[in-house]
Amino acid sequence: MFEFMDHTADVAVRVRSRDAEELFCDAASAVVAILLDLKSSEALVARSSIPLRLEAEDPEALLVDFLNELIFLFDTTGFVARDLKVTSVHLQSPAHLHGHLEGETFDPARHQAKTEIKAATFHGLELRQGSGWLEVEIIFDL
Amino acid sequence: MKLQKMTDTSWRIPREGRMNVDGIVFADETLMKSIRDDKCLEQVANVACLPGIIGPSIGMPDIHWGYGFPIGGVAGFDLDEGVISPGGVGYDINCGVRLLSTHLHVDDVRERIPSLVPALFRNVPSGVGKCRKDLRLNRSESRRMSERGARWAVEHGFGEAEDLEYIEERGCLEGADFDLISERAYERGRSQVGTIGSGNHFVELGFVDEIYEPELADRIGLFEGGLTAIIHTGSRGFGYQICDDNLRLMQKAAARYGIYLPDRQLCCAPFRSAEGQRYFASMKCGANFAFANRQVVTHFFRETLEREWGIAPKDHGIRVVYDVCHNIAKVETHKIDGISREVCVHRKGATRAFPAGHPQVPEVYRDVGQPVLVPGDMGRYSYVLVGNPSAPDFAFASSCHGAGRRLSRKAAAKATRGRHIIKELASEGITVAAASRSTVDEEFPQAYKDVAEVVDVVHRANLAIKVVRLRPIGVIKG
Repeated sequence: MFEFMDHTADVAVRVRSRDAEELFCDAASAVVAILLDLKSSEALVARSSIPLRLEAEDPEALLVDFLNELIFLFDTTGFVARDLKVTSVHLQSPAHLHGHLEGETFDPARHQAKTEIKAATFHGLELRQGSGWLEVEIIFDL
Repeated sequence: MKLQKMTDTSWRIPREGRMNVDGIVFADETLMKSIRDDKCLEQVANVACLPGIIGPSIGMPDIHWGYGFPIGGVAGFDLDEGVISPGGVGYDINCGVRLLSTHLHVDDVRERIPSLVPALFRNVPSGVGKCRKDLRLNRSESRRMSERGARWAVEHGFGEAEDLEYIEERGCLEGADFDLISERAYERGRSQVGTIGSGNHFVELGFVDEIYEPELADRIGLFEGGLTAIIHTGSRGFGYQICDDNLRLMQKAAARYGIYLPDRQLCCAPFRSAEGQRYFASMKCGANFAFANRQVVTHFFRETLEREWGIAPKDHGIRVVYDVCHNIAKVETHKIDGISREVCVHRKGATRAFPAGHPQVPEVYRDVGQPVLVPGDMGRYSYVLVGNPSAPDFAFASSCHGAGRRLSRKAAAKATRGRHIIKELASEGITVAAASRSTVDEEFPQAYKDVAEVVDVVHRANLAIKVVRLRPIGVIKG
């Protein structure tokens, strides 16, 4: 699950999930909820699939790379992710995420755009883990 | 963290812990109340920890919580001992503001504004994922644009050569190296030249509402009631990606050079290191994209007005008053303790404000000072100031860049629930065209501090001299 938190200039999101796979799925949903006005948009459909193979020095960097990949895909192709299908995820350094994204291309006839995201930032980014939970706060620059 | 009041308009965060220098924030008692509630003072202190910082870590009166550096932050670094940081510039490299003036009087055109605004909205793509279908650059054009900035735009028929005289750095930072730009950055930027983006970016029609310094106003071509336009946008996806690419390199570099980072987003490298110089030359590509972007938007603004109102250039007289960067790193010469030194000045959400006589002020404004453009929110007003020769040396000739947010987007959405902000603004004589109502709600006037209070502190602290106030009558937003 994710929730929006107060941040003066940008958007802060707290993601709390049971495991790494869910964490990346929830974080992806947060990106979609910033890009689109979900109340005024039709539900997303899995029309296309994009393979994903990300490696990073630590889990925070992996998360930022993943989110910035979603932002890049939207910016260049209009792709909006509905689901993330994970085949392998590893949070210890070096961290990786393998799988694919399912979703569709933004269609102004069915989707209402909301806010452009410049990037997911590293500001205050720290992944906390406990038994059966993971939590992180992400600040997006809008 | 300690905070000491120095004067009516300035506060000191005394050096402690890992800070190398003090922090200084320009604010009065009222502004400081909201600044204190924010995490930005901590960020001023964090910047003070970076190596080679010269003079204090500075916060402008519109300071607020950013990521890494605060928004409204200024910091100068020694070229040999100091660093350069992508987080000190931000993702939107050379986000900035351009002011256009016209020969037209607001009273003669007011009734035609409601039809001009939608036309402008159609002709200048605004909002999420919007691109220009008529301007898609291949690699060689992207290279030329990255290296030539606004000049590239003029060479392609977007605007007049004269426009370049009124842009910071004449619209081009020398030393941009397109070979350093990633395929991803090129991909993101190639069809975004001439677009506004979303969030707080806009094109705003307004008029000169109040004049504080008649002679200075006259010298920069502003008269009471004169129709104006403000363009606020930056380097779009091209700049965001350049920042992102370099942040990753800088994080590794910071570890390698043993630089202590209180926040990962502050990652940096020594200015003269390979990584530092790589970022600087890449950043200049982003900055030049932004100069070109505002120049192309200016062209489409002129075109829309001419077409919609059926008037010729000699009749509307649209000219560039000035164009400022507010997210940038520059090597500039400043007096520190009475000695002239070269410094790498980072301004993130802050504007340069060179005084009269400075060699980098365009010749036409040399005896007036560099115009400083400070947009407010879309319902109230914006200001034009000029650099003040009496500004304190430690401020690196800098001023504020806007009003600064007061409410988070979440709080703004809550405060506007059940209201129709576009209709409310229309009843006040301001026509708004926007890609999404929710953006307008998040950007509603009261989400921002009153820019008059911010500008008042800038003026009283001698950072810049207040010249005129502008009032909005039409806005396009992403």
